[in-house]
Amino acid sequence: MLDWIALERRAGVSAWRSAATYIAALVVAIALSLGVVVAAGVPTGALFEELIVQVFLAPAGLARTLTAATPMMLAALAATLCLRLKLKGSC
Amino acid sequence: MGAILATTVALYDIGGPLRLPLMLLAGALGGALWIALPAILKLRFGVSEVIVTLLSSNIAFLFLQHLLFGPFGDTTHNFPTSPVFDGLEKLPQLSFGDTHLGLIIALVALALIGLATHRMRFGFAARFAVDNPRAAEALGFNTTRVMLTSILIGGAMAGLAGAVIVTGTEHRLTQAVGLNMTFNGIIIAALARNLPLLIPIVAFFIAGLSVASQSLKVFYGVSEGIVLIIQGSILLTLVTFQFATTYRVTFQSRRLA
Repeated sequence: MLDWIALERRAGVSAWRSAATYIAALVVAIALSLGVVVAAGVPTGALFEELIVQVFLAPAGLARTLTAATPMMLAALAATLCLRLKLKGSC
Repeated sequence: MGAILATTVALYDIGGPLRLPLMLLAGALGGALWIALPAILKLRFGVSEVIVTLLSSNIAFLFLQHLLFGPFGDTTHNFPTSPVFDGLEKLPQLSFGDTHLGLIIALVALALIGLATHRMRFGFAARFAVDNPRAAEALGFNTTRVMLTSILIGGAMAGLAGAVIVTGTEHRLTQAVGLNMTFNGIIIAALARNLPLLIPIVAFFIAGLSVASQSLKVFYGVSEGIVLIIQGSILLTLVTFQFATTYRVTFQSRRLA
């Protein structure tokens, strides 16, 4: 049915292109996320204070973020080891 | 399962003064043992790891509930939690807010595994075993052993995460231990492109989202689910961009097709 669309694997992806793609994806993702938060009812003016200052810059918030990040790092390490083996599932 | 075994060590007062390291060790051991069955089924019989791990996660959760409503339950109240751990069974706090020794443990684990996967024979063998198992076998690598070791270390890290939660943050076993941790782990791993050294940065960012969600919930009545939506959008965007970098979409005319 959709035989007029074809996918071709690119021969090689340069490092800069790969990095640029990653950064562009993050920028788009952050913009989308901010849109979601604003749509959920958070005033635009409070975004910087709530998402940046209170989470990453204020000492208490930074400590909370580091505490929350601790088990996540280990869980991500577990996932990384399994994903590198091309395994799926909640390894 | 790591959290359960760590709590077992605490509740049965095993290990005397070495109880805390023993709890962490038990946590890692619990995670490794729990992943061993799906790993063996996959490597020996080719059984789908997706199905087995999904089912085994459910079993682990039901087992946790059984323990919390039964032998591990705190009889002083009606909530399904274990009794609070003694001081000896809690990870020492660092001198910065609520941060604890678990942070250092996690960073050391990341550094060691990063070193093993990128700079040592083990990491090379693991990559080779995945990319070209026949050639790896022909060159003398035991691919099954390499993969099994890698999976068991992964399980141990997941178990250690559970042990760090109960010893460092919750100080008791609860039903919510490890809630969303699998999803978070996969997202962080994907965003970090499976590079251990990038994990702390991405984990810090994702943890920030999680912390922000609590504040947004309290002050603006925003649902905690919004964080899952954000994480999902980030992952989806990244995967889409990676797809676009890897493949080129070509449109052929109908006549040619």
